[in-house]
Amino acid sequence: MEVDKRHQVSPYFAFFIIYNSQVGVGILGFQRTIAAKAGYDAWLCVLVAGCIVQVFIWMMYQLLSKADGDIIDVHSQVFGNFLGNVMSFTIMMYYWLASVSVVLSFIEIIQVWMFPTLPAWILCLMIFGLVYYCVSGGFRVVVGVSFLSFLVPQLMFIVLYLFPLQAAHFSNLLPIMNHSFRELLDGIKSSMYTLAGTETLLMFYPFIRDAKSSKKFAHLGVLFTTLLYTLSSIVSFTFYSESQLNQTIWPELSLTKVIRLSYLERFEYIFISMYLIIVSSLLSLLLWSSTRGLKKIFKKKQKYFLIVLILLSVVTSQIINEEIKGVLDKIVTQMNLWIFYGYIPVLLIIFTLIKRGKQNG
Amino acid sequence: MGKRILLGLLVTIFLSGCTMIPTNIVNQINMIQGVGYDWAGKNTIKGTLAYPIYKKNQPSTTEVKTTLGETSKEIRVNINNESRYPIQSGQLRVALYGKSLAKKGINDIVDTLNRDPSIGSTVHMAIVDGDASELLKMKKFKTENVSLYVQEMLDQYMESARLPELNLHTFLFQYSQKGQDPYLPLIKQVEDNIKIIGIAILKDDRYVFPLLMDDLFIFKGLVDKYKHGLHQFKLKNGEMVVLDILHSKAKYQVKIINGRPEFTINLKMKTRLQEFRSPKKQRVAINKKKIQQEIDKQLEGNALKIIGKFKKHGVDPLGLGAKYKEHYRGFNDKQWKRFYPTAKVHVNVKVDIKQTGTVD
Repeated sequence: MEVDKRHQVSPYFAFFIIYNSQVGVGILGFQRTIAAKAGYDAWLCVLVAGCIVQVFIWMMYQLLSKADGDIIDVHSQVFGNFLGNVMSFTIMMYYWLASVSVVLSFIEIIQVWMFPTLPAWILCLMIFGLVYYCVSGGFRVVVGVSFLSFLVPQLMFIVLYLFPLQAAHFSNLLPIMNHSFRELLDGIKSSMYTLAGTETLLMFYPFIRDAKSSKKFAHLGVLFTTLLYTLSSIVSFTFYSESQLNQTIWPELSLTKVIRLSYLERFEYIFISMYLIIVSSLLSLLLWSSTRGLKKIFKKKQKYFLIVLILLSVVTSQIINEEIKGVLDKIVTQMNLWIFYGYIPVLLIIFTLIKRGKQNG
Repeated sequence: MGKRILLGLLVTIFLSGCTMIPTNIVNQINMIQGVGYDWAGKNTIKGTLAYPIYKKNQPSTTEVKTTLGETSKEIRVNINNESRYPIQSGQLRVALYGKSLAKKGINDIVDTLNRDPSIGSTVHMAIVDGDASELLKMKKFKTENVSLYVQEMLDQYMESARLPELNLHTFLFQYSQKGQDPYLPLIKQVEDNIKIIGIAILKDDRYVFPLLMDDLFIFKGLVDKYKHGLHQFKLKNGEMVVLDILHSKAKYQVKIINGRPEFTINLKMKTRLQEFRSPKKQRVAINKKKIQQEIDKQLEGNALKIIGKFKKHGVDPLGLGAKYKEHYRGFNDKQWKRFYPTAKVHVNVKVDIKQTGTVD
């Protein structure tokens, strides 16, 4: 199925979309999770995980360029219409669950750091109001927001690392490779989740003009986020001592507490507010992918699915408690691992075999 | 039509949302800028809060209140019921701990500073040789802001003199770092002045002994970097030399000999000569090499003296344990504690007089 040229974007935008899909609330707290697994060697795990994601990107490009469409086309070609749609529906649900998990984590941050008394549903409505606006504008608007979120907050946040680096203890990282292979493997596994998000490529691939040539930009995007996450973990590791990091829930946010400007005593309020841009662009991308897929599966207007999913998210944000949130996070992590790093490679092999069979026949 | 109703609904929701966001108007809250804690016996703490009071057409004054409580937030609650406006802690600048409390351990009270997201991690901490509440209540500071005074005094002294860079973050870092003990500035009320008298060396979170001004010079050299700092040396032949440090850097080397760690600290200082006085009452040309060598020896002796003191008390503010851990994969906390009192430490100081001013 061809996508109208008017809705497509230039190949180099793949860089920004991939960057946007990977960077979310995770970067504010992943340092602690990976350090719990592999100690202060964990920054190496991020680098290794980045390489694995590169391979994964290559696989997705192989798969999608063979099908010349998105994952739904692949599924219907492999499994037929009904079974294919069931599989695609699972993936769309994953996108939605991931967006719920992101918005809940961000709301938790706002409540802890800024407005402890503000109810979750109001924040949820405000954020999703913005997201609705972006998604209803179509894919090009979603990409535009991704681009902005890279340009305005992200590049600025990288410069902010200069402040904690002044108090850095680089010797904290020594001795390197002081953990067992098992621990490092665990570290890689949890870094994989923080680097997750590239799977939205499965939906937006047909929306890139001359999609095959966008491959190098997608690889560059992953490279950038890998380096960003590595830098961020090194900054945290050199700034905190190991047991201090273990108690800090959002190391990256606590880092900004050292920033003191003469006209602004507390910087983290601005940091969190600016972060809304990054979070809402990620949410837009996830919800766009999800509703685009649902539209293709059920052949109804995308807008209806968007409204339903947003309302469902708002309701979830209100009824959810700590336990359910833990379960939700676990489900999203496991789904991410099995669907994308387990299932997609298998699908690629099956799909290649089918295509080859057809050619020979 | 449907769209308009939806818009109207959204606007109502958003506006009602805004009223739920708490507002803090600056002259309708009491912003704590300084806190002080003292031990009051029987698990209770005497807490003191200092906040400025702004009035129209009048200079601001400082209000200081004290109560007892078991936790620092209980103290805040108790003071809240006698203050005009609600108390907010987002502008906290200094946290002072009385010696009596510091001897029992301060970590439980520091915890709340770390936990509260509205408190920055560059808050200054200091141990008061005496009573923290008395210091905050000093008469002289009734019209001046005592918290800002202490903050700026500490800031200034860290920047330009003998105090290493210390704040809430460094305390938490040193406290939680394996193989390191924290230290905090030590201040004292001397008549009607507040004075920095040295550094309080802590074991875990308990005050052990003070390191006074004379030893502070070399201590900062060992743990931090100098950007400025004057120091006077008295040479054997009665000459007095005052050096201004331009730059200093200490390098730690760890060698493991027979399974035990041995440390070498190489301290390099670039200085300029600011004042020179000879007992001979006549102008003497400066013998740079001789002065440098003698000062090296003096500082090395001084360093070994304070390190010996640390070992005797079993405290490790230099973080030698942490350095050992970096170089030895099989690091074991218990074993290190056994090694520490007898660990060999060598200190090599190299003072370089770069400039002698406009004369030599």
